[in-house]
Amino acid sequence: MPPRVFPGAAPENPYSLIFGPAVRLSLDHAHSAVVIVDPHRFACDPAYGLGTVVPDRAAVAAARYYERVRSAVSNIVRLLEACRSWRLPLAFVRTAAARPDGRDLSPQVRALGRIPVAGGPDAEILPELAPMPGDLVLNKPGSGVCTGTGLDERLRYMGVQTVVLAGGSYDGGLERSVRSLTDRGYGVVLVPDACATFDDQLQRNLWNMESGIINVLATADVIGALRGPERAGVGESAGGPLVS
Amino acid sequence: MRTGIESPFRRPESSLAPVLEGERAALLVVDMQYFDAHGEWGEGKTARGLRVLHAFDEYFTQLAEVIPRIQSLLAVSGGKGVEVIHVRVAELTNDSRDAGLKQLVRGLAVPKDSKEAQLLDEVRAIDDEIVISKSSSGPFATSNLDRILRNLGIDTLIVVGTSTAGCVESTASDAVDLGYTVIVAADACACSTRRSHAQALGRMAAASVLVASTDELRSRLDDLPPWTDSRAAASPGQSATCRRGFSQGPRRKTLTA
Amino acid sequence: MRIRVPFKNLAGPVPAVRLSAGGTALLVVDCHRFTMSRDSGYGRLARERGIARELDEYYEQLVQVLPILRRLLGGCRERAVPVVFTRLARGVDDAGLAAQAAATGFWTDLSSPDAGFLPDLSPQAGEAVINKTTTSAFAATGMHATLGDLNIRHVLIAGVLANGAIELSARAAADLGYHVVVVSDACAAETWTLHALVMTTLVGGLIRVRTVEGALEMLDGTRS
Repeated sequence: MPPRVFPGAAPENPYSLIFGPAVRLSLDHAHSAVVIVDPHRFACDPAYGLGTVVPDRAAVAAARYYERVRSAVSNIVRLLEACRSWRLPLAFVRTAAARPDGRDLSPQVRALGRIPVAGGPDAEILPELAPMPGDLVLNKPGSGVCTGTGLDERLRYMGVQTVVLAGGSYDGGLERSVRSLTDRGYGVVLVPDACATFDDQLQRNLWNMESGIINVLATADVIGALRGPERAGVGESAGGPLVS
Repeated sequence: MRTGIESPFRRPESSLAPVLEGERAALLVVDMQYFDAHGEWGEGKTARGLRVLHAFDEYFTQLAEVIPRIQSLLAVSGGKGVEVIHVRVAELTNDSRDAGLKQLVRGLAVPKDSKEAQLLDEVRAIDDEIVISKSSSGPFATSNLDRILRNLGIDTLIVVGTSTAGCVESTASDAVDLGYTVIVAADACACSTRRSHAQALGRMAAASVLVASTDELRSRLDDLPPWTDSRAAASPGQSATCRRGFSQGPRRKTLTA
Repeated sequence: MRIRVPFKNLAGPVPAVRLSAGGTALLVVDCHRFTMSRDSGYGRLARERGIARELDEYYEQLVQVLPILRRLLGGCRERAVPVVFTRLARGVDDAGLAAQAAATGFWTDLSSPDAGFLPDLSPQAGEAVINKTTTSAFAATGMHATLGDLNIRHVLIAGVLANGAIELSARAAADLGYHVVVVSDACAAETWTLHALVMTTLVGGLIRVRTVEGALEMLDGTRS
């Protein structure tokens, strides 16, 4: 029975009246992976990369972004612990160029004014999140995690159906990644307290993105869901369906 | 058009308007079909059945305003060599077995021969216009649109249609990532609420999508040289990248540009 | 034939202009018997030289232009837009014949029937008529002063020849700071190719090209 709407009170999202709630994604270990967007110095360390080319007028906004990054990183660390303890595939996807002139990057990224070169200091993944052998580290030429990375193919080879997504978003890359992944048929569990966007409104909006095959969970809830039989989607076996 | 969301990392907007060349541009009309843009079919019909159609009043009001603007852009495009491409949600099968997961979980099937798959009469495809079917929000994941655009030599997209925060944003944002210059005609896009429309425009602007009004775009298109050449008439030394016009016959002689 | 105009990409877009705010005039350039009637003027010169057929494209274009010109004229008058007519003519007490006209022969005496306007493409009471033997409507004429008296800042230009008086008048007007709208389907050129060339290459700076539809919509404020 859809919720009753009083005439004249248009809901924030009328589609919620005809679609029903989002599906509950199962985070079963055999079919889930964690993807961290832009976890490198370029995007996360104010002394490197983007932090070095912030115009004065944007200094305050940039500082807020880096604060959110700090807070997100501490949650990403917890996510990674859970991820590693359950041996979920883990992919770090970072913007990095092969060429120092960045001509192999998308025009949008090149326009940021600072090129993160693979192998250089800007491209280094934050030490707190240090990748281990077995982790995927993919260099992306653009903003979203699916464009030009082969991530889709690799997830497919690994049988992944659900992606836990966290990380930095200095150019809308996180939202873009949610759309690209869901367009390719992956369920996405977005973890807003393990994400950092550049705008207060966008940050708040992350909590409202639940719909269709997108779930929104706090870090603690993701960890809980990954742990033991009380996890979300209880009832199916390890080789079970995507949704409960 | 400033819409309030600014990334501190975006370089100050260039004061130069993007170079607009007719033969390098395409007008992408997104999801203007019976499935999602009509009160009596598809989602509109579902809403009507659940007695919540009135919750979509803002949406259908916007659509009514948007349709004539899309029509005006369609009218000016052909004569300037701007490729018109219609993008819509539709499966390849009549039993929708190839539908994407996003659609399946919401029960949104749009079989290929259904009324829902058809483009609205007011903005239907005419002549030889390309129609791309997709089973995802953005067209690039589930169609070969990117390849087609490359073949056509197109690097600039003008995006209109529905919904601003849904498939228009997915289309525009994917296209930017693929290296296109993307311009969204803000007042030729419709969204479920005016607020979500404004927020979507803000996100897009902060993500390197250019936002303009239909009037501005139409003026810029009007100022483009008329598209009058045919490949057969091109001189032998000309670049092979001159596309289109394989079978273009002599244009009817008129004075209208 | 491919018409490339690479320099237009060096400049920004033609600035938007609100014609409906007043300050607009229509210039009907050189539309009189000499230029419009096949029995006189250009047509007669062509017959005398045995090359009448070469003017076919021009007169073909005129067949299309005339009704559109009338529509434009009517539309402007309805919207109280002042109209100024020019013609290739010299009166007895006018200044000397311009050297260009003397060399080409493209002029007529004011007393000649060739100087006459076609019915329903004629000036009405109060509408200025500027006689000239120069090509540009602004060269050695009182055009700029006349427009100044009417507080005109934008001009719509129509008439003949697209690749002559129209083009030169448009560029001269822009050089004097007027915003210019050339009404493409209300102008005739010597050939189709020349028409396309002129309408393509004129656009830029303060000059834009619109059809009569577009021009009237600009006057009504529904389009910029």
